[in-house]
Amino acid sequence: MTRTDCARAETLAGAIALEEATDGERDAYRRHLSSCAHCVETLGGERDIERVMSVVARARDQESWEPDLRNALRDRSRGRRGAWTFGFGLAALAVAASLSVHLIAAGTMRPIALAPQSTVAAVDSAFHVNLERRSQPPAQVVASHPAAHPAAIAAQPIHVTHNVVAVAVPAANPKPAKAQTVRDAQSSAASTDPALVAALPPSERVQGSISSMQTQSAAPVYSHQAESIAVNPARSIVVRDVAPVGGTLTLPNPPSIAGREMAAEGLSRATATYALAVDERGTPIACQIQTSSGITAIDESVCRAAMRAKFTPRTVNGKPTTSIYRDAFVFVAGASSEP
Amino acid sequence: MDEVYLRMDEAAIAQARIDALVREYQGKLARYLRRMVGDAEAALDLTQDVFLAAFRMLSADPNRELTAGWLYRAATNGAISYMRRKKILRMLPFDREIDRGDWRLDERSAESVDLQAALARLPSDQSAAVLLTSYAGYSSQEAAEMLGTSADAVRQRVCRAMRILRTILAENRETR
Repeated sequence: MTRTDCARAETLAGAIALEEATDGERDAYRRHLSSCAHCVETLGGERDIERVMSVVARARDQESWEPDLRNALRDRSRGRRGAWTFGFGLAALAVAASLSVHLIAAGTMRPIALAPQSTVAAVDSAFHVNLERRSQPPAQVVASHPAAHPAAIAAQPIHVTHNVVAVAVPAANPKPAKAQTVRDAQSSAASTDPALVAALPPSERVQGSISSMQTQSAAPVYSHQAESIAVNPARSIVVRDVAPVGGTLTLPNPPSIAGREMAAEGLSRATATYALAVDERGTPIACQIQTSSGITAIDESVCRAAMRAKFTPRTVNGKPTTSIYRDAFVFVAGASSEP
Repeated sequence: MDEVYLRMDEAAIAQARIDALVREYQGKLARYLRRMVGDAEAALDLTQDVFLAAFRMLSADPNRELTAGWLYRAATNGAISYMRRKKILRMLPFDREIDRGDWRLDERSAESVDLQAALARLPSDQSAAVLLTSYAGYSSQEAAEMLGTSADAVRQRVCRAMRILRTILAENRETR
């Protein structure tokens, strides 16, 4: 019995398994089995094949999972479309607004200046996360926003500082919050670098909560994990090696839920720190909440949003590698104030 | 239906077509992907990705033909690259179990578990072959077109998958 005969027998067995075999093919398979003990042992006769394949059919017939994706898809498709137009305005500005803030942050020096309010942005019905590396004065951002929904902009200005989501908390009438935007102004350097946080103007000091959380609880975890993925353990990996590319993403599980949950819990602020494994293409492959905000909906929405971000991969000797990015989001109840 | 389309703008046509596709295929694709990756949550994300890709394609060209084969091909590619990423992830120091599949209680039959155990041992191309045919109901020729290979190759992959499943059934019979 030659190897090619057995390979042919596999094809025939596959045809029998799929109930596609002709009578001639069934005959050929039987003839092969009569002279090949190995195939009798590993593949079995026609009845055996049918018996094994019936497992697949029964497993399929027993499934009752009927997921409904329509709402999630509508949010995502709408979000992406809005993102292109909105992102375009930002991209044009990004050239003007230099990278300086980012670079200074990376250098662990005190930034010279940071706009008091990083950005004021309003988006129509979808919920977005802006992963932006640059900082712009608010007026410019508003001016650059396509004037497709001027009313919406005027009606619901949402103030977003770095990684801080302003959440409208329902008062008597539990009406969901409107559009929120999250901005990730620089790379993770901002959230891991206490010097930067300290240098922030008071209006942005809300970030301090990220920094304090990291130094208190998440820091040991961070250094451990950073070392374990370091090529050279002596030189610990710095998370800013991997940086968000920028762009707008839909925030699933919208912050309106966060607002209600926070009101229910009596929280005025919820912080979720997360770690993101980023592969060598800059695509997140897993997200882990390091410090829970205490509200599952917020944790989930942070991770789901982070998983949709794009990153510039960390490079070692010029070769892109996997890495872990850490950052935090702060949800502040009713934090919006007029500029 | 066509008359309605005439009065709609292109974006609305794309939206209407994608809605119809989602209605018809969301369950099938999600179940197929859940079997491929063994994780319901990941399957949902991957299914969404398939429909978003379809949506983007239809937005660019609302009259473009979009077949079930296209959807399954996109789903298969998504699942394979997901499995590749998951492999990398095993090397990274993440302590959380990521592939916790939340299968429904009524689906945890012996057959379902056996099939999933077999799929977990198979390379992605063999999983895809057996799932597209006996599970999703396509012929070996149709599956071959989706996977970019020949019908005989699909049959051979199905046979290899069947062999693993047979081994698992035999093992279980010994232990049960």
